[in-house]
Amino acid sequence: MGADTPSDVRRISQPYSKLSRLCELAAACGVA
Amino acid sequence: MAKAIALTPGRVTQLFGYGQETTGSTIRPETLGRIADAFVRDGVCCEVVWLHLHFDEFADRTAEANASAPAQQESDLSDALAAGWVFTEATAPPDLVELRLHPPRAGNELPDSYYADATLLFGTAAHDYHPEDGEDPRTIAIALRQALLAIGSDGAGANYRVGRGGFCV
Repeated sequence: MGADTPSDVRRISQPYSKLSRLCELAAACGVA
Repeated sequence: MAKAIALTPGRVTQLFGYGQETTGSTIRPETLGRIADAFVRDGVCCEVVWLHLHFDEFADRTAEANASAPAQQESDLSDALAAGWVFTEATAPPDLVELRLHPPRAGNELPDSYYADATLLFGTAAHDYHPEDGEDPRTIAIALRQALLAIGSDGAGANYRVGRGGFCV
């Protein structure tokens, strides 16, 4: 789960929102 | 976070700062892999390929995969709280520092308590400097050397405290 690295380099849309969402999930797991 | 994915805080700002929200960022696959690994280590199910999806689909995948997380169990109340949550932005100069308050979540330790998660991001700002003494214009980098973070209460019925494990540097 989650450690693959695709070889293509593409533009990531809305990176701020995506990282924020992951941070929210991490915070819910008790990780600051 | 920056340390976990082997990037400088400034680089994280360049890739994931609010300024890239509209234009998007081109990020190396190795970096995406380190990001996914870092979140997986923290207990968040995340796959690199999801980061390439549109945000709505990305949100669906992460929500589905992390459905057992506490935030999902209390999602109804959190959604209700988030509906009245207004995000405002104040950044000067751009990329130097960003503070984002996330929608509050209901707490489960004390009655009528809520968690308000915040992301504080320190980066490096580029400023175009035009000297008045005739020297050539140049771009200077501005970064913080020291920062003081204080959390207080207004004493009018609102009480704040830092949650368990509340800081990560």
